[in-house]
Amino acid sequence: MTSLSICNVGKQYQKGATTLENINLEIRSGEFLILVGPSGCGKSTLMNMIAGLESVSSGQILLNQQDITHAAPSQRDIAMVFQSYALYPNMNVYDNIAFGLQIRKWPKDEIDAEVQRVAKLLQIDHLLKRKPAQLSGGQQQRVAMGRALARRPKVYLFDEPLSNLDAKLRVEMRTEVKKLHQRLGTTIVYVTHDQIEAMTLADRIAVMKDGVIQQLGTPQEIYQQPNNLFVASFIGSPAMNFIPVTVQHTAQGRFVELKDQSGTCLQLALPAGLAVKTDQQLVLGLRPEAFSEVQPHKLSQAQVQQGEFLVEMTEPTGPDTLTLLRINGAEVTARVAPQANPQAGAKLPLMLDASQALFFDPVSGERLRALAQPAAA
Amino acid sequence: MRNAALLSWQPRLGRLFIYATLIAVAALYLIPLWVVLLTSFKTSADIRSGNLLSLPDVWVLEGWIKAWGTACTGVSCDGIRGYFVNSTVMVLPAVALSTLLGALNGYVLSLWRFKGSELLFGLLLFGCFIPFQVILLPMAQTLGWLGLANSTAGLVLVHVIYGLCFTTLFYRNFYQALPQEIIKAARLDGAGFFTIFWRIVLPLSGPITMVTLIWQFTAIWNDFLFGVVFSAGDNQPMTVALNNLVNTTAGVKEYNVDMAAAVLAALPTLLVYAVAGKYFVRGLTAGAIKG
Repeated sequence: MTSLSICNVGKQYQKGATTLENINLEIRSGEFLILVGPSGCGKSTLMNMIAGLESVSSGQILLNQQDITHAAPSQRDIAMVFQSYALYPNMNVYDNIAFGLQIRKWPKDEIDAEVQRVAKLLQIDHLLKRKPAQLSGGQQQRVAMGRALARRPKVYLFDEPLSNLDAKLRVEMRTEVKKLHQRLGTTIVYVTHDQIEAMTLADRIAVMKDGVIQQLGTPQEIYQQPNNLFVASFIGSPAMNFIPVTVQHTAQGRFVELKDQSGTCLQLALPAGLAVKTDQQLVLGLRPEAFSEVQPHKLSQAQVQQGEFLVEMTEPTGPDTLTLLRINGAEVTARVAPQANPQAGAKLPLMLDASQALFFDPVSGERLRALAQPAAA
Repeated sequence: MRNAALLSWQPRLGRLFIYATLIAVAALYLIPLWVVLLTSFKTSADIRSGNLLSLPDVWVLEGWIKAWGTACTGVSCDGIRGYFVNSTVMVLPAVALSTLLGALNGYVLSLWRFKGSELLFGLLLFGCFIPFQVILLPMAQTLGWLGLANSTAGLVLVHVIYGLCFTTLFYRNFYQALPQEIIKAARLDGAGFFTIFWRIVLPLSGPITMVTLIWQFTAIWNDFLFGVVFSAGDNQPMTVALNNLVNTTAGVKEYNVDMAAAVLAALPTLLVYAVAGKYFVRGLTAGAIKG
């Protein structure tokens, strides 16, 4: 089976700009790994380096324990789906899919069988005679995937494959890509700047920024335990709320205060083992769903409390109404059920579930972790 | 009512004026061709007695036959037939080579960029602006060294070298619009430099190839300067022979022969433009192929 290892890979351009620094990734066989980050973070460069389209300045890339760092793209047995699809405009769909096989000197009947197999799989068998210009965006996308599939390569690379599609088609194709992966069990490295795509598709996500991997983990890990403020703000929509807080101290322990403009003040106990000092400034990270309409059956749970908040603005999305509050001077989005009928300018009773609360160092941006509990665990 | 009629008449009058002007200008522009064609079908006596613009008294092919087969160009008197062949033998490889090399150059300079490729392109482009006269002496010297002086091969070489600047420019700018990702995809499919060129890039080059072929054919066929400098005697191209024919006078000047020879010399380029002219305009405006 196929595994891809990226060891200490770096990329420097001549003018001294470092695009990638010491990237380490281990992609397991059959894994769907997504590289996500804002534009310019180096994710596409990394992908091009895996494909062999850009040279590697330092480090190693191993495919099945074999060093392919400096191998030509044609020798790597890696296929890639491009954002612009990059179909050959002069060839019809059949030839587009068959091209790589012809180059590899497959026998004619095997090529034919393979093209038919892939075309059936992607439901483009009725389009084989058409030229790319005669296809819709979604069909071109399928042909591009077909071209990659036909060669049965060891690793598939997807470079923002869905970003040229309109919103509806993008969601459809997203599902299709996932189904395809589940059916074929292929190893996929997928680049996107769309965090929803990353969350929905990936087995594991690598969040990148400025040429450095900020965090590598399952979608749930990345969502619930982001390493730093960047990851926390990048993943999740609407974005995580960041509230400036100051550590206070009483006999019961350390806590922080959340103050609303209307005078509501909630106290949030700090998790035990969090290495902070009294009066230290922190950033409290709370996902929008931490604030919700009051659900009495949950009030008994630990770390759940309620209070009245002044609503600044509402944004109905259908299932939820995003409700804008202001806490400790920071804008906070709450995910409230429409039945609670939040009204701008009015006070609204809300429930705060702080069980998923995160604390960040405002200077370094790193998440503060609770040290291992002494005896309890 | 009257206003409406006026409104509908005014634009028509304007139209009429525009068309009249255009027709007049076109006619003026076509007079030389008219004169050349009519004169070529006249007898010598007809030419001397008649009006320049008048139709021939008797339509005769005398001038054409003589120009093609027996007119004197300098010392030999075999017409321009042999030179027509010379030009064809010289033009075909020169056009083919300069076009193909231009396509290859353009392919490298736009899709396989390397350090300094932009500078190289700039230098190549500079070649378009070097006047022909400047390179005559060094080129003559070079051809001498290569042992190609006064040969058809030498003339082909000169035209290929001089044509490369233009053909490279054409192809490079055309390929510039091709998405780089197509090349990347082909490389991942296992295709090499020349496979990508032959199988993908060249098949997409139809419009610009038409432009380049017409451009090169016209330029090389019509060239006089290189022909007169770098070829001699039996290897001379058509244009030089035409000049010699017109300048060789034994007794009375035979305008009908001169005119017929001139039309014969211009015929291939006219033909090329008539057949492929629409592709020329289309190719120049086409810009690019969508990926």
